[in-house]
Amino acid sequence: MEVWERVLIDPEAYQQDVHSYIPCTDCHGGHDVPDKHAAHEGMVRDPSIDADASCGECHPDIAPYQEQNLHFNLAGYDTKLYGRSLPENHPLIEEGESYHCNNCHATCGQCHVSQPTSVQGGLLSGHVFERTPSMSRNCTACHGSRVKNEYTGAHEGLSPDVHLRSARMVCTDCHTAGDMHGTDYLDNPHNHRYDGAQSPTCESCHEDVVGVGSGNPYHEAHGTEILSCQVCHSVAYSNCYECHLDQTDEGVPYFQLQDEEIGFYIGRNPLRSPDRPYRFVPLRHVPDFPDLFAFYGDDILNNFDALPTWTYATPHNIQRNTPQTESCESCHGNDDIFLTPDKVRPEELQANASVIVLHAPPMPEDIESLLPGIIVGGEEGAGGTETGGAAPAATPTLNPLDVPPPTSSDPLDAPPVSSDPLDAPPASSSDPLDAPPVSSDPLDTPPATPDPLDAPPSS
Amino acid sequence: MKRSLLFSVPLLLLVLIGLLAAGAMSQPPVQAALQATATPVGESMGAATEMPAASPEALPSPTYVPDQNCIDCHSNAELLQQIAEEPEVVEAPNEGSG
Repeated sequence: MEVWERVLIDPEAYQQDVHSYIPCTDCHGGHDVPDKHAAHEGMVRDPSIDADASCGECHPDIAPYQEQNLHFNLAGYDTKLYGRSLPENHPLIEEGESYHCNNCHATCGQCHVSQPTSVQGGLLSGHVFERTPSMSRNCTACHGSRVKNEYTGAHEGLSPDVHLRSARMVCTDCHTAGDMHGTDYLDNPHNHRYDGAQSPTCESCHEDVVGVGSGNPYHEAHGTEILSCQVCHSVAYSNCYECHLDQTDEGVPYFQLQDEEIGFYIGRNPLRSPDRPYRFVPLRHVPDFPDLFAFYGDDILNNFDALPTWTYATPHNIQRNTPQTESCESCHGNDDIFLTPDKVRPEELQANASVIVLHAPPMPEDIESLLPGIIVGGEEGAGGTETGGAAPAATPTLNPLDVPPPTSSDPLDAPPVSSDPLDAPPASSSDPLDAPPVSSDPLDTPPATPDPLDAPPSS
Repeated sequence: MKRSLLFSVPLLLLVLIGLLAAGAMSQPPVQAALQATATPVGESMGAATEMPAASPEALPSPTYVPDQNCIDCHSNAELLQQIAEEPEVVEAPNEGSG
């Protein structure tokens, strides 16, 4: 939009909006005088930066809680960055965020009146207040590089998400106002977008086809606590590596992303909880790396190994049929699709020890009873693939009968043949944080053979 | 006498008509309409509906009170183009998707 277009009011449309009965200067300040400079003296471009003062009188159920809204407080950034550093470095992180992150603050107005500031703003509909934000002009204006590209099938060879392709669904069809405003969890403010219970969930719409009793043999076999839906129904997504934050000589902040790739990696669930009980989830690599804030100080992320760089992901590129649904062997016995140690950068092995999978799960010995009528090898029962290009590397058809069964049926329990330091027995530690979690979940039961991946990183 | 009666009777009639008309006009049309549609209490309607709602026409419409100078300028595309000040564009040498 041209500069002048961004502030062009449509008087006829705006007069139909109840907000038009509030004088401009009541919200924006400034003065109602003909002279441009005098009129703009003291003017506030986005009054909703203080939502309670600007919007709270008429919207008392939403506006006062702006500070608890992840879209406004950006707590997700702090959670991850502070988690990778020690408290003495948090002020330096805040300084870096002020240059590189804080223009992503979304206010009421940046979703309901104009485009976000991060894309230079611009009134949506001549200053008409839109009850529902625009997917393309608001949501994906910020969530573009991952969500938009995945949802719209922008990556070469990948189809748009089935929810867009078949149902033309927009973001707000799944993401409710209460979730977007943070008012659904006022009693338990979230620290990042995957905090607390899942919202939205696939089951909200697809309740009848999930898990045991669904009638879908694949869903019956996998239940609801082994895999997140995305493990089977997502395709490849973008992974970013090594973001360098910097400033030009003139003080203009910028970033340089060292590497970016499209891939699909199943790993252990780093956020396993009753709300997210899955043992395996897709993992996305985030652009954090130890020198992310090097411009602002040395060794700022000095607790880098505390959190994985391969993180819980819900790629927005859902398909009914994916490379994973082609055959049982697409996943079982196929290390290519799992986040095995060889796919993790050596300097990040420690940080990701809790999510790395040593080997893909082998074909269950009782596959025939689990999925009667299924021909192992993929001809029958395979869903086929709607999306080209996303398939993981092809693997030879695996006959489970040809493979000697491991001592344990759980591949995660099998000690790898490797010289990888992660395979070494865990270092003894007196740090209580290194103690394994107490859990009654049988999946958490320590294996007979110590699995180094179950061990926390040595502190 | 006959002549005065001849003038006074029509005059009295006119005054009477005038008084009747004035009486009718003293009742606001909305009230008159409400009375015409009102249902006596205790007949067939419950307590919650005893007071009939005013028709939308009877409600005062909100007053449109813009700051006219602001609206005049910001709705004039030609004027905005003339007085727009291009912000200094500072290109950040970002590399990669953000």
